[in-house]
Amino acid sequence: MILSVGLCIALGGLLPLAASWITAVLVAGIPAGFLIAAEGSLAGLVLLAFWHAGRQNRIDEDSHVAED
Amino acid sequence: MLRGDFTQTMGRIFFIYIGGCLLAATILVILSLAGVSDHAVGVAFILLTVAFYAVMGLLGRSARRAELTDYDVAGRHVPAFYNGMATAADWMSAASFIGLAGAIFLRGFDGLAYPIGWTAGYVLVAVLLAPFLRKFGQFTVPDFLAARYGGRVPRLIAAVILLSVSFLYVVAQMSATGLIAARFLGLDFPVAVFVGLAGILACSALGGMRALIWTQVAQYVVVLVAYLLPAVWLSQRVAGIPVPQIAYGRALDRLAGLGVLDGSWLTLGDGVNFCGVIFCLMLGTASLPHVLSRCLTTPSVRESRLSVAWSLLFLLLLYTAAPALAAFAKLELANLGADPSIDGAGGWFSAWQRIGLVARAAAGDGPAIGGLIIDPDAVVLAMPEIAGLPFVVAALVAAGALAATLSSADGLLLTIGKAAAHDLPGNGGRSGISSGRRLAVARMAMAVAAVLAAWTASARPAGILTIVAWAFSLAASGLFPALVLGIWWKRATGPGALAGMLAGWSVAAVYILGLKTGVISPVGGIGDVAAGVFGVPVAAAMTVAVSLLTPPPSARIQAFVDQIRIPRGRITLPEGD
Repeated sequence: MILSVGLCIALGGLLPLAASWITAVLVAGIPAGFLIAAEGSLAGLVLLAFWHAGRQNRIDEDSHVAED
Repeated sequence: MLRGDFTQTMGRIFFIYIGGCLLAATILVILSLAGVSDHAVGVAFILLTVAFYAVMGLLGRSARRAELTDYDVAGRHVPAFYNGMATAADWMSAASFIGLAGAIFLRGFDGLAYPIGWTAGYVLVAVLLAPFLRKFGQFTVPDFLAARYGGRVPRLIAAVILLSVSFLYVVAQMSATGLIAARFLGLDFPVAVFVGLAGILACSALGGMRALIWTQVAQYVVVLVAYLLPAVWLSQRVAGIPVPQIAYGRALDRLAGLGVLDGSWLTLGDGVNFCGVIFCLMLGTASLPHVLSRCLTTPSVRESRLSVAWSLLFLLLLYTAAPALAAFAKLELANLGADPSIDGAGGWFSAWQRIGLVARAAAGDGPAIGGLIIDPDAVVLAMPEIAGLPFVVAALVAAGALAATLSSADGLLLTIGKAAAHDLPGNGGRSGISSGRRLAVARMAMAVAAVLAAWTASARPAGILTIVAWAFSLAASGLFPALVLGIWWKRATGPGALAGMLAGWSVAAVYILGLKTGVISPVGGIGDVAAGVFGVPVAAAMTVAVSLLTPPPSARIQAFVDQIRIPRGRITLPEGD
């Protein structure tokens, strides 16, 4: 859980900030830093949400606290 | 007429909804091909959208009698996939539909703080709050806070904070309906706001969330299509590929060639506020009532986690198209600004100029493109016409925006009505007031809130996205620490939570008001849109400090906290409240 919150902050806050320095590289004509902030960071967060849901549900079952 | 289990009802509603939309669009395309004037087509689109919502509300209403419980969380048996789509549709309000692309248009990279903050906030909901509130199983945030912290006062304060947040959110929706009505019905903005109000109230009075939850799934599809259509059209035209998410590189290229794209648009300008806005939106999203109440419509704790993930995926489609839309709008403006023929009466330019949202740039004005200045709130709505797309496309975008706005406003007014009837009396509605009486109170509160919001919006206090950002700051400062500490820190006490909620909310509210009225100047360069940067730490510190000074919560409350953290088992409420 702490891992998920940490990853959430990393993807939502730190990644776009770090990426904002990458301006020289162009991907499909868009500076890579802009693209990462506009799309990469969001895609990462969606994956995180699914990953967390799956992992937490598995943890619940393993420790026998999942709903019946 | 609309009874039945989920899939059965689902199929019927979906068919009625999509079929109705297709029919309406076809009729209007035929009308405009037959030479009916653009103005008439625009008016017809707007009226059809509102009428459509009113009818959907009525259909849903026939499925139930006026019962307050029904008004609310629709039966808790919606699968995660559909619930996610419905949450996404709830979420797509004027802020994301109209405000977002405008903010990116105006501020480039810095505007990306909004989609990032919202998305990250959703993840926080999934991790920190949704499953636990689902386990708790009651309807509202004040319910939870009252059970956790004990008694009337936390419920009352939470309800007041909720009211303030929902109210600002409604103001933003009203601004949007006002803009749409002003442009397409040819009214003055303040008049148009009240016309929009009539539409919202009509839809709201006729339906509840029961109608919404089924229609929302179809609504998501329709709103997304309306948003993506011009973006896909232009990316095909500009770059030859119908994928706006990657095609806007070509538009950037051309803008650079025209010499109108200054490099700062694509790079981070104001890092402090960029982070500040992300922070406030993240925590604000996590404590926003209408997102949290959707968590309760899933059948299980497991599904509530997945539901948030799905809704995020659906929102991603809209968020990633916004920068493309902004870039295309810049390109089209740059291409045409010098053209004097746009000044003619009856065209888009004069229509938007009349409302004061576009103007020819004069010397000394801010950044202009192609000699024009355009208000961020007009970018999405005016774009199809600026780009010379058929007028029907512009009308479709307006109808999509109106649909997004109507449903958000409706959901928020319900929240307000519920808070007024259920939480403000301070006892969670268990005082023996009849449910008919409470429904009347709820309706009245909704109407009063709606009229006040329209009155506020008619003065256009700020852009749509700014107003929404204030709401997020207030939600984050007022509710986030109390909610999260309530679940994750057993030692948090009632007085602590109260002190935190009051202090955090006041700090954020005072900061916003102070900056707006010019009484104080920005502290550390932080703008009013990021007021939660001060509110949240104050709230958290107060909660912790006062909790440590007061005796720990009773064993029953601590046991209750343990129970909501574990998906299995039953909940025993700490006290009868």
